[in-house]
Amino acid sequence: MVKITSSDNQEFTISKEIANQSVLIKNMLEDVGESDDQPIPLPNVSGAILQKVIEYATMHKDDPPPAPEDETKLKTSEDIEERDKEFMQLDQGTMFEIILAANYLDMKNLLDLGCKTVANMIKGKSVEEVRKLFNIVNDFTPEEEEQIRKENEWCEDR
Amino acid sequence: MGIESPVHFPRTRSASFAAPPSTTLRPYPQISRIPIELIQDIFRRLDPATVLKYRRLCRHIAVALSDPHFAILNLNHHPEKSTASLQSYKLWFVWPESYQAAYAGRLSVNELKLGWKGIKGSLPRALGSLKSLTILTLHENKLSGPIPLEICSLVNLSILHLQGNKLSGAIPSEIGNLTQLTQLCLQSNKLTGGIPREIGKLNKLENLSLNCNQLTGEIPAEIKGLKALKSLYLEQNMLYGNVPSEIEELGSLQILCFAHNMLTNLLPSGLKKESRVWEILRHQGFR
Repeated sequence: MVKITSSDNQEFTISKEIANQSVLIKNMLEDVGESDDQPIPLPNVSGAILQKVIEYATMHKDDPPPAPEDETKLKTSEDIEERDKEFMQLDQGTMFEIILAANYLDMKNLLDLGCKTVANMIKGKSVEEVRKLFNIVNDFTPEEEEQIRKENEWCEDR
Repeated sequence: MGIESPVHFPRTRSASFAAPPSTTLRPYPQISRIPIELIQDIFRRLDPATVLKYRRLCRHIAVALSDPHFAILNLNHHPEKSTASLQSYKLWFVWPESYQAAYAGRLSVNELKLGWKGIKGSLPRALGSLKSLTILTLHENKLSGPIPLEICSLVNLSILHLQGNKLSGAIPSEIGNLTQLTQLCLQSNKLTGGIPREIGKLNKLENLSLNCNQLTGEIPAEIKGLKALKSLYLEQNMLYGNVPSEIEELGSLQILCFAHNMLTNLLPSGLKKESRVWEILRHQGFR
């Protein structure tokens, strides 16, 4: 078993196969060796988010190991497994926290899932709709925005 | 959603009793605040034909999407958008330079025949990286802007058709590097400036069409270097001065068109009366 602590000092004990889904933790474990009993501090992830991350890792612990990375393979499909879709039914704050955590913990599949989910939310929407959806503040001056709009002429109406 | 798993959640909050963890107490992470690499990871999944419109969302996202590396990420994720299809080609001419370069980097073609395709935009400088091109035809489209210098590095080119567009600016003097050219058609554009002397280096050129532009200056004497020339169209420009007598050395010449310029309508001095060129010029009203 492996102990990890969150930024707000919550301690979690997880199995090694779950811990190893995070390349960051895996490398740390390899560095400190088996015998070390000290919990691994994860100062960039809160307990609440870590709990969600562990939930995801547990759900996927029996997944077959990923096929050898084949970058040339067509991987355009943004299909998401049903259980992953359910997992990502989150408020936006948590969703982005999970993306940040997956990036920090180096969990490729979870990062992929998070980014896919956000991309799917953006897909097909106008700039104004996306601004509204994610509460994005338009911080351009009117002149700057006009300039970009001009540069965007070819793609703005697609 | 229950968690059925061998995982233990001991809930032992060590030492100090921190406030219950809650994401709502922390600054709400927004899409506009997450690191550039993650913004790119999200947006690279969107269609290369539309994703750049989201540059208008906010500065942070504009920076992420304008990064040249993003073009490569985006096209790598959409290999179907970077094939040699007309749909992709049409994008190529309107994309920003970073995309044009990334796209050209994935192309491997010897011929690009895209005449009469309703293509808008300008000639990508990235054309210059298609080193194995032998045929480039983009005639009768809606291309504007200059002829990029980079085209002049396509040294294997034998056919270059750019006629019937709205190309402007000068004919680059580096055109003389394209020594394999047999056809150079730039007519019916808005080209300005003179006919570069270096054009005389194109000793395989059979057809030179520069008519219906706004070319000025004199016809360079170096034109005698066009040993293989069969047809020369220069009508409807603003060329002036005399027709150089060196034109007589173009032994294969069959068609010669000079009408509607500001040339002095005098036969070049020293032109032999029995020469074919003399005949043609006489027909065009030269005395």
